[in-house]
This record gives sequence, C-alpha cells and structure tokens, in this order.
Amino acid sequence: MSAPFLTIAEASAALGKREVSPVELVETCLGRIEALDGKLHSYVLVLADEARAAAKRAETAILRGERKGPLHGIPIALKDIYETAGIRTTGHSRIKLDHVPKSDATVTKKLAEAGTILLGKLATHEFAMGGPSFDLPFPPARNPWNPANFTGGSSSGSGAAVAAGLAFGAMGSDTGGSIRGPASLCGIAGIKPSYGRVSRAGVFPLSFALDHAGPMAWTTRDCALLLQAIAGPDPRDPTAAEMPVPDYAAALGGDLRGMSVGVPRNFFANDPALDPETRAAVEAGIAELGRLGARIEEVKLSPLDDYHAACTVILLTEAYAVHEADLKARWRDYGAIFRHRVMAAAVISGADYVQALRLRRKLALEMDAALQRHTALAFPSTFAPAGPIEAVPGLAFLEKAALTTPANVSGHPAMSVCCGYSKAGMPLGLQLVGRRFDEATLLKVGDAYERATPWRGRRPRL
Amino acid sequence: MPEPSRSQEELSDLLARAFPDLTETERAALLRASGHVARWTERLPRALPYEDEPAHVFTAPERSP
Repeated sequence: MSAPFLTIAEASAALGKREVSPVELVETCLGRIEALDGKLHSYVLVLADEARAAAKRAETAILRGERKGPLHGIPIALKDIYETAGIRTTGHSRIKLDHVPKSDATVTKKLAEAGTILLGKLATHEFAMGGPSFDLPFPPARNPWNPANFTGGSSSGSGAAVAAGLAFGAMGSDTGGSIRGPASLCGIAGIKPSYGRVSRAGVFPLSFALDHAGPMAWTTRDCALLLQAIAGPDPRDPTAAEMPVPDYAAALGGDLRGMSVGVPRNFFANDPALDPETRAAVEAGIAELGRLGARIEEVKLSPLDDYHAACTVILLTEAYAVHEADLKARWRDYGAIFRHRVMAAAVISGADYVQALRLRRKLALEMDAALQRHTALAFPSTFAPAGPIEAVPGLAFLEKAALTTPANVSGHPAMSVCCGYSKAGMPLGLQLVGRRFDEATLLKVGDAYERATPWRGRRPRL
Repeated sequence: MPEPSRSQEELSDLLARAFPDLTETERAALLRASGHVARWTERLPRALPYEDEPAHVFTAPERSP
C-alpha cells in the first residue's frame, strides 16, 4: 500500500528500516488534509508548521539511532477535548473557543514522549455530546465512505481522519459509545479500554463515572500500539488504576482456540431497528470467530434498555453538573443539540441518580459473571450503517438505546472492528467486549478476526 | 409502561426554575427532551434491597494487588 494507507505497524517497520522518513509521512498526511478535508471537516485545527518541525526532529533522531520506539515519527491527531499546552482546545464549542491550555493532557504528553507527531485537533460533537450540529463554530465531520453521511459520534473527526488516511491514528473518548460508534460507521478499529486503564487527566469531562479515553486506528494492531503508549496509572487521575500494563502487541497473533465467545442476542436479535445487512455481517463475523477456534455460546443479559437507562441518567446528571455554571450563564452559546440534551437533565432528581448508580453496579456484576464464563462477548456495534448526516435526530441518544452503552456502564473494555460493508458501500461494525483489564485478550480476538477477513483491504475512494 | 412520575406541568416548573430566561420555543424543545429523559428515569428500579449499594463499591479485580 502507498504511504497514506500504510498502517501504523507498517509505517513503523518502514521507519525502522529507513525506507520512509517521518517527514514523508507528515507531508503525505498534510497533503491529503489539504486536498480532502475541505469536504470531510475532520480537523478543527491543523498544526502544519509544528508537525513539519517535529517530523524533522524525529528524522534526525532516528538517523542518529535514537529511535524511541514503534510510534516515533508516526503522525497522529487528537479529538479536540484533549488539552494541548499552548494549542487551542475548544471541545468544538463556542464556550471554549479561546481556550488555550497551559498544560498537556496526560495522554497528549505520553503520546509526545512516545515520539508521535501531532498533526492537529479533530472535530467532535460539542463537548463529546451534542451532534452532529450545524450551529457550532466548526462544521460537523463527514463520513469518508460517503461525505453525505454521518460519521457517528462523538469522536467524529477521529473516525473520519483515520478512515480517510488524514492521520495514522487518533485519540477518541467514549462515554456512551463515542469511540466504537464512529469506528463502526467509518470502518476502522477503536477500543474503549477498561475504566481506569487510561488517564483522563486533561481531557474535557462529560461524565466522570463513564468517560474513557482510547485509541482509534485502521487496525486492531495499531490500536494495540497506541494503547501501549497511553495506558497506566497517573497521579493526576485518581481513577487511573495501579495495574501493570502488559505488552499488547506481543499478545497478538495465533487463533482463538480455547476461547469462548458469548453472544447476548437479547440485546439486538428481535430489535426492529436492526438493519438486515448489519445482522448478516455480524452473524457472519461471529461465525468467523468460531472458525478461528472460539466456542460460540448464547448468553442472556439484562435488557439493553436497563443498561441505557443507567447510562443516560448518570451521563446527563454528571454532564449537567460539569456544565451547570455555563448553561445557566451562557446557554445560548451552546449548540441546540447539546443544550436540549443536557439542560433536560434538570428534571433528573437526586434519587434518580442514586438509583441509576445502584442499577449500574448490578449490571456491572452481571457482565463480570458473563465474562467469567466467556473470554469475550460479541454483538453489533451499531444497529445500522451510517445514513445521511442531515437526517440524524437531534435527540437520538435519548430516543433509542445504543448497543455501546453496556460497556460504559460496566467499565469493561470494548472495541469495534469492521465486519463488512453494506450494498451502498458503508462499513459495518462488530463489537467485542472483554474481561476487566484484559485488553490484551480482547485485542488478540480483534486482530485474529481482522487477519482472517478481507475487510482491511478496502479504503474509501475520495 | 408505568405511569409517568412527573406531569408535563411539573417538568415545565422544574425547567423554569433551573433556566428562568428560556424563550417559549426553547422551553418547548426542552420539554420534548425532558419527556425522553423521564422515560429512562421511569425504568430505574425503585425498591432495591439495602445491600444494593451504588457502583462505588466494586469488588473488581482491578483493586487486587
């Protein structure tokens, strides 16, 4: 494949052999951003000069034999809720339009220390919540497989930029599915790690109980490389657990013999919203996991609506608390979708919030029990492929339970991998949920699936 | 479906108290959103036993050495 469509692992190997330089990788991405982002709107800020200077420094270091590791010289981008010292961080909102942080988010810092090159800041739904919106300072990102279509959200720019080859990898955040949704609809891989695996310090909060930071990339292997750089405890984030971080890339390879995959069909099988092409692709994906050696078994969990109820009440209450002062003083400065979703939380009582937290624990323990019997769970990432961006209902998250919320409620690691394409050419996503803090096995399942299927061989034609 | 726990009037009062300067159009939009929120709050269990504590008491493996 040519440079823009190299994976991180391929680009890293080429950098190691000095077949390509960081300068070439950055120039390729900047060229594609210049040529294509006018219609994709995946970036809200491109740091061309800074990226070129960093690429030159990386090139010099690599030529001196001072390569930091597999990510040194790899161009990436950050969802615009990750703080970047001296670089505007807006949350895609008028509220923070002039916000220039004094320090980096922990993830920003760790990625820089690993030698990645920051290309810019990526579009998001407003504060990782409200979108797609057309009344914000920046337009919403568009899907590279069809720019008339939605990217999924809220890590919309991350999904679009990676799929289009405008960055080799990106950071997203996931409070109710904001990594896995765009990964699914844009046809890439994205992992929401376990709650506590990756620091959220310096990432704009939406819901303290449910927020997760994580990587998005073309392949599961690339996600493993990025996760390696950002995982681990952090004194700046009390939820970042003191857990050892295994070598994720070393865990990849081989088949799935000895594993068991549970399928909670009660989440989706009888839901009229399930698109037939999605159903067929996901069932074929599950069968492929079986061919790779995993035992496939049905598992029954509580109704999806129970998970979504806990998620919605916790998320909206905490988002309201985060934004209360600005909502009261400047509600007109938020986009309509954000304010309608979050201001509506004014009707949630303290008792509602506590009951949602109590329900959350029951559901988390139920998921723990299912994952004691099974290595992973498999089900669709979304009910349907991406449709027209203009047709996305403003209150979609409130109207219908999402298949991604269970893993936010329970805190288990979960990822989306591409499992095919609709007849219209839009990507479809298979969701995999793993054991708490066992991202290594989850990544192994995703990687085995990707290697066994042809879906990584197709890119959007732009 | 259980009976809604709050009437439209109550929802409207709650919103007016939280955001006194809303326009009528905005109030109507928020009332629609609040109706959806109420549907999810009504799904929450209300009679859990005392031992069903909130989620801050996980006995999850991440807390083990």
